[in-house]
Amino acid sequence: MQYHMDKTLRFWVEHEAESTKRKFPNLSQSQLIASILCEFESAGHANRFVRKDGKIGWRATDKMREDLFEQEQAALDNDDDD
Amino acid sequence: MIEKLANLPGHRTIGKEIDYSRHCGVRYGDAALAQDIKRLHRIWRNVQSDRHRSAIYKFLTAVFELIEWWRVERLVICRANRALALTGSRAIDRCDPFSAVFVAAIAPRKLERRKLSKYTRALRFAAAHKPPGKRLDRFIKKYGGLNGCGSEFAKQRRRSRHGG
Repeated sequence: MQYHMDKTLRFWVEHEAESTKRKFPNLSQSQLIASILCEFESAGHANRFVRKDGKIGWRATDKMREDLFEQEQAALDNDDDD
Repeated sequence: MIEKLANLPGHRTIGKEIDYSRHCGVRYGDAALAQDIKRLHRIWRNVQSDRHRSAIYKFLTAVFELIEWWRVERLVICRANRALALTGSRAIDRCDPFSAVFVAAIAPRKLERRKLSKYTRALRFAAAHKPPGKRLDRFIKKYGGLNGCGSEFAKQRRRSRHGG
């Protein structure tokens, strides 16, 4: 199954997929993406919507963007400390 | 106004335009539902602190989109009841999904009954007539704002009750 995602979400899902694939090598790509999306959605980082073509699409939530921004700021602060 | 709507190019009702077989296959557990309700609550809080007149459309769009994809999976009533149960509100037999989500996302005491009814009627009208891809705020404004859509919805309901 194909999952339609926005750029931000796709980037992080693919990133997560690489590490999850190592833990669960038997999962198909579709199962892998579905489980990651489920996890992201449960954490409030992704939400679904109906696209113009009537299919379900996925996008990153404001919460995900804020959390990413905070992590980025924290990493920058750590770099400054070093 | 309804006649005008019916003549719009590409106008279809929501039931016809959505392919209900497009279930995306990702589990939607209680945690995910709770996060969606939390997200709506957060938007509502932001809207309350925003003095801009059209700020409410951000919240209404989020509610509309949530119900829309529940509808695709044909689990609107079940999920609306689940949302009420999760937030400690009582599930009702013939619940209207829009008002259920409003009640779940905003504490019921914090929303006036009149406002709840106004928002619900406008969203129900949009659910039946908004062409796919058209922004909700533009659609509602085009038909006279929240009050305009609400009265169109009421007119339509009266007509269907009287069979005319």
